[in-house]
Amino acid sequence: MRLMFAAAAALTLAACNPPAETPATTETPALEVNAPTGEYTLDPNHSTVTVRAQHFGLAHYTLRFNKVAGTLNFNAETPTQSTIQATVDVTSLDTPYTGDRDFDSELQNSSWLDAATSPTATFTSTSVESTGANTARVTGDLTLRGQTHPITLDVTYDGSHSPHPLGMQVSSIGFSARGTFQRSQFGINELIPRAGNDGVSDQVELVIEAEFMRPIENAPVPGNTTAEPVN
Amino acid sequence: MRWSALFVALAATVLISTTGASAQSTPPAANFPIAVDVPAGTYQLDPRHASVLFRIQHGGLAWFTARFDTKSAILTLDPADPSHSQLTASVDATSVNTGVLNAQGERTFDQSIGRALGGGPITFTSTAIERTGEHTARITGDLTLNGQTHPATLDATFEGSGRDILRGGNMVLGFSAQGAIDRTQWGVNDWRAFTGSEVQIVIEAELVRG
Repeated sequence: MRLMFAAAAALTLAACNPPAETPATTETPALEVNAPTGEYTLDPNHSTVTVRAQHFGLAHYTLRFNKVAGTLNFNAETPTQSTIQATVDVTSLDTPYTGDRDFDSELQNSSWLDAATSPTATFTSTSVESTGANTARVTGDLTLRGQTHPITLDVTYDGSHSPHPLGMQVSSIGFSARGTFQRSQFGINELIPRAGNDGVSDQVELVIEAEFMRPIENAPVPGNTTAEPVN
Repeated sequence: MRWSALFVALAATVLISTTGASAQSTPPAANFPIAVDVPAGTYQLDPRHASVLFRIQHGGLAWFTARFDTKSAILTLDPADPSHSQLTASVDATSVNTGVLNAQGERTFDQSIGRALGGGPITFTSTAIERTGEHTARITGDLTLNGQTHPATLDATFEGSGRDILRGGNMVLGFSAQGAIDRTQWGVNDWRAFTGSEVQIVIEAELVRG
């Protein structure tokens, strides 16, 4: 039964996956790389870190971390030589519910993420392996709740431009990443299922959308004026 | 599970009958039970355990993801044939939450998106539910957004069910649903210079029987 369901879910996902999540095949053409080699900074206004875990075998409880920072050392010639380091402010945990329960703070307490003791989570890549024309498997060390373990992210390169189409003198590059880890590995054991679905799944999904920017060398530093709504 | 043998038998029957009738255009019988083993009734969204995300590609780069925080839904479930069920759902355009604040710490970005979406309720009323598998269905409905109504489709997965003491001992159903719309169909054309027209919708929802 569980297998049948898993197969059905997998098929459904395969059938309705949005383009950004479609696994690359040999037929997928390589997207152009328009951004130069260099050190890029995460654009916090255009990046989203979403976390999901299945709640009692029902829906996937979905939350977000609002404060994220990161540095990408991008190698345009040999992208697998790129490295990334990212930091998440655990105290910026943000759930979609406001009302008689404050899940934002409950999930930061000592039985969950223990944000008072471990206020930051970090990811530092250790290897990048190409898996397709626009995809790669990025392995790295995740430090969460004071413990460090390797995790793997399946990353899709979405595109890049230099300069910005609205004329700002920046190079930009965007990625989508998906990954999972077992939260019990990091000592997050609250409501771990004892039997079947009587808890919140040990497996946690990461859904990351990230853009990185870098000023174009020998160009005037971009000012604060832009036609984009975020600033 | 207890009816896995039945499933195999049904699947075999379908295979045989499909082979025998390959020249005909009649669709094969569903290879899963039509009825589902959950109580009939009216199920309401549990806002504590639900999320409505939307994703839009920014500048040809990443798929920026935001959510609607004010949401509701009512499912009138017919377990004898779930395709006869009815779903209505609503989110408030002004409850857009990007997590992005301006330099003064204000939610001006959220507000500008809320205005771009017409500022009112965004509603979805199912018009057809078609089973695509034992645990999956394609839900077509009328989506009203920015004062305009057009059909939209969600691919839904039934994740599971159970009674929850913390929710009055009532039956709770869990669903995931995904879909995509072209926002320009609804006249939402803001920021076209650097954001895509396709908007992906990612829903996770638990519904509690009243």
